[in-house]
Amino acid sequence: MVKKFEELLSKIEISIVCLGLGLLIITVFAAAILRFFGIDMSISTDLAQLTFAWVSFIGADLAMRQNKHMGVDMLVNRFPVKLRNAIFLFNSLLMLAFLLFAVYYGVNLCIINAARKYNTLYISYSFATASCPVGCALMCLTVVKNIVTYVKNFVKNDYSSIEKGEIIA
Amino acid sequence: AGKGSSSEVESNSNETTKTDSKAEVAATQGKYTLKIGTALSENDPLYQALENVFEKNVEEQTNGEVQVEIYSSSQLGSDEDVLEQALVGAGVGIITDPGRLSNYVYDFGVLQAPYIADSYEEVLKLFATDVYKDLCSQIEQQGFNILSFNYYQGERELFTKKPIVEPSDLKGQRIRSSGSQVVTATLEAMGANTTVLAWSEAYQALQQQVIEGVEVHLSAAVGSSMQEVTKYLSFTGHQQLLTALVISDAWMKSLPEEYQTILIDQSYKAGTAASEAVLAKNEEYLRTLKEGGIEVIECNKEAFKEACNIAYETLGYTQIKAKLDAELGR
Amino acid sequence: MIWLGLTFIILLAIGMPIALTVGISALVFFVIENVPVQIVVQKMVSSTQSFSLLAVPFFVLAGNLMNETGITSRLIKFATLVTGHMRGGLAQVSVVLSCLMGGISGSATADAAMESRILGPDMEKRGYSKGFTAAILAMGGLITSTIPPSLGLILYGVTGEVSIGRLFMGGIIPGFLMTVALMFAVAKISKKRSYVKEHEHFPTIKEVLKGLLDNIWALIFPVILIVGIRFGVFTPSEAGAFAVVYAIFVGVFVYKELTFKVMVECLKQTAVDLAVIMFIIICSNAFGYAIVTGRLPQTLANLIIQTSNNKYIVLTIIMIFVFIVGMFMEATANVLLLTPIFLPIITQYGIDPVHFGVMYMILITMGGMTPPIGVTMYTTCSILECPVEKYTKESIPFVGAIVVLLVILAVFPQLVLFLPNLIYGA
Ligand code: NA
Ligand code: NA
Repeated sequence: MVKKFEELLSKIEISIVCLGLGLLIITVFAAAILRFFGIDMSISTDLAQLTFAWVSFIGADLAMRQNKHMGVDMLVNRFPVKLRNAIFLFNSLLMLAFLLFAVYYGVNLCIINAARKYNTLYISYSFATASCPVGCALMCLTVVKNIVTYVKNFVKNDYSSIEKGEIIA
Repeated sequence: AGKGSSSEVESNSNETTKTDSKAEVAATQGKYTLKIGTALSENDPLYQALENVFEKNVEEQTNGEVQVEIYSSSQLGSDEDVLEQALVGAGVGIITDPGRLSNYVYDFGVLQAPYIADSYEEVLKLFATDVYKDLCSQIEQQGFNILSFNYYQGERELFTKKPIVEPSDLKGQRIRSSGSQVVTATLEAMGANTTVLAWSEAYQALQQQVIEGVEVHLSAAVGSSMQEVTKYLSFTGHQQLLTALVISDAWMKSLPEEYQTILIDQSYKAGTAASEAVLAKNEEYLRTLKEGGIEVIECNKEAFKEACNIAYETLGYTQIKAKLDAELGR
Repeated sequence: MIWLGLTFIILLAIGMPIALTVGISALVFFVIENVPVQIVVQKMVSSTQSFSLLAVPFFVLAGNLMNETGITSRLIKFATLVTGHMRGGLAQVSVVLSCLMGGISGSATADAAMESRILGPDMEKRGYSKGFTAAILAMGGLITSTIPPSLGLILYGVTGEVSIGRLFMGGIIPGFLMTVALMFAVAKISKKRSYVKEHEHFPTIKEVLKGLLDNIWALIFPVILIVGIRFGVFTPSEAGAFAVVYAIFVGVFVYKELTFKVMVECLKQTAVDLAVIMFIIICSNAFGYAIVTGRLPQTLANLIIQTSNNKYIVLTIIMIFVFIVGMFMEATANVLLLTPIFLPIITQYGIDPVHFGVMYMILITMGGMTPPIGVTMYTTCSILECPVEKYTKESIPFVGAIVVLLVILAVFPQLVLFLPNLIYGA
């Protein structure tokens, strides 16, 4: 069940990001070409920036699933595995706190400043701001999954999953 | 970073952010700190008035209880960003224009509509009307506090690569707009095509023929060396750019009342000082532009004025303009 | 400010991802200074609202596409033809390849990764030591990122509001000089260790001309790019979109090697590569607000100004600082966090921001290649399964060559500024 949901989510995310990248190329390229012929596509900048916000925040979770966000593990890797597991757990809890905070205040900001508009799109800037809480909420799920793994490691006293470096978080 | 949105209050963007050499090293002994942002550079008369009048007097008169810090070149973020920061209650302020405030109270934009006033004196009169006071109370309900709306930056003119005499000359010309509805509607009414760009990108865009002109006031034109990338200056005077010092209403209300009065008084003083400095320097700016090779074009201002009438309809400002006209007896 | 620094160092040390280290320390600062925390979210979002920054996804994608379109394989053939007769032939090939790739790809790590996969195994077969192979393949990436387009120069231009067009022009001569410097270092080492040649004969003019013709699509791209930017056909961001469309065009219609399926794979790869960079940028923007409102740049500037009046001494201090920080910190974060601090100081001393920018970005990008921490280094070392100690030892001569180059660039600003001034006017 959980696994299926995860796969589906990951598929949706990757589709959004890839479509977003495609849209970015098309809008920016088309605007340049049209301008060359004297036609102004003034919404292209705002549209591209709005898309970029979503591509970046949804992509951030994609990268987190694949453990691609780089950290400095030089010191930690020298620690005994049990301590390492504890540090990973601590880090993940801290991340969760940060991400939850971003979700809460992101939603808050969307509501408070709904009046702010994109210059050329005539829609609220909150559509861009919303990318942050949504992306961070997705990352929360990923971090929770990692936290569960670390706790299980302690319970089972089996640290093979972090020894293999499968979860770096 | 984050300079996505363009800035109406233009800065000298070709110069990179300079360090405040005489910066008092993080002097925050005060109880309250007000951080004021502006897109302008540190050598703009407006920035200097903020520093020499507002910051100095407020700190003196509050015995250092209220500390003022001024941030040039959009260091706090775009105007929209800083307004948002004020909205959530941060001790920040921004020098911004009516066009930006129209996001929150739509009718504010009328104060920046084309030919709503013809001079500094006339535009000041607008800000003594009941219409303006009503708009102010509306913006306060939104969470902002306007300390004073008297920071004059000059009138907006056209800087172009081809000579512009009549509105018909603007046909097919790509002129940079800040993207603010009022500005785009004005330029379109004048006959131009618009391209939305951040002011910081205007110089390069002109150099690379991405756009064929800009509409801007003299101090900003000199600040960004428009004489290097455009050839002609038409004194259309389609807007009188009056800007405001807007701060967070929640933060303002957290101050003792006597301090609130000091802030309002000193902002007004700084505004007057800034405006006078701008007016005094306009001759000098014009000379710099001419020496840089700019040719001044005798344009048909009446024709542009006529053409701009349509903008009021496009923007839906006909009624409020009638109200203003009635109050001013014109 | 102290809490900001402290949180930052502790989190970094215990292996928190850089992006979150930066984000969490910024949050700590906001809470302690009693600044409304919504601003953290605002700054995170506003970092993505920059038109210039859009060049980043485009040039990442264009670089990834090159390998799938047949452009890269043709460039390798050409590089082998031209330098195969030298001692350490394949190592020379890798350096020249980095230079040729530089005209389309903007990322040092992407180039190093590609070369490690394609040239790495062959180099080992020819008897080059593992450390040497890893070191030259990683350091070669520095050429790719110096010759325009360059992600690093884009980030620097965006953060410091310096013309990206000028920066691109400024990177050309240093990029070529770097190619020469690294080839010289390779030649010296290869002679000492008698590394083999790829083939005996010198390339004939006819062969070279034919090689140029075969690679014409890749070789003319940088020319199109620069002419296009200069004459206003497109801005640097749009040039990125153009690069992508160009690569797809060449891959589908000219070399006929790019399929839809491969393109989708490329997009997926780009999505993740991009997200890693962007998340650091996103969090750094909140951190940047803390730095600016904490008035750190002014404090540091005053400190440095008190130290010396001589611009070369100040430049040296800054460069040494950047080099050391680069050993430990990731390059993207370095550009975003250090540029607002150093650029104002540099301009006060009358150093041109383009001149400084090119040298500074070479040094910051090299941070990814110097131990103990560096993404480019990790990438090549993990692909080649090379221990970091061996890499470190073998990279010293190459790092030395770059440092010498930097000193030359510092003393002769015209090497950087000649082309930008020629094209854009002084
Ligand atoms: Na490059
Ligand atoms: Na390093």
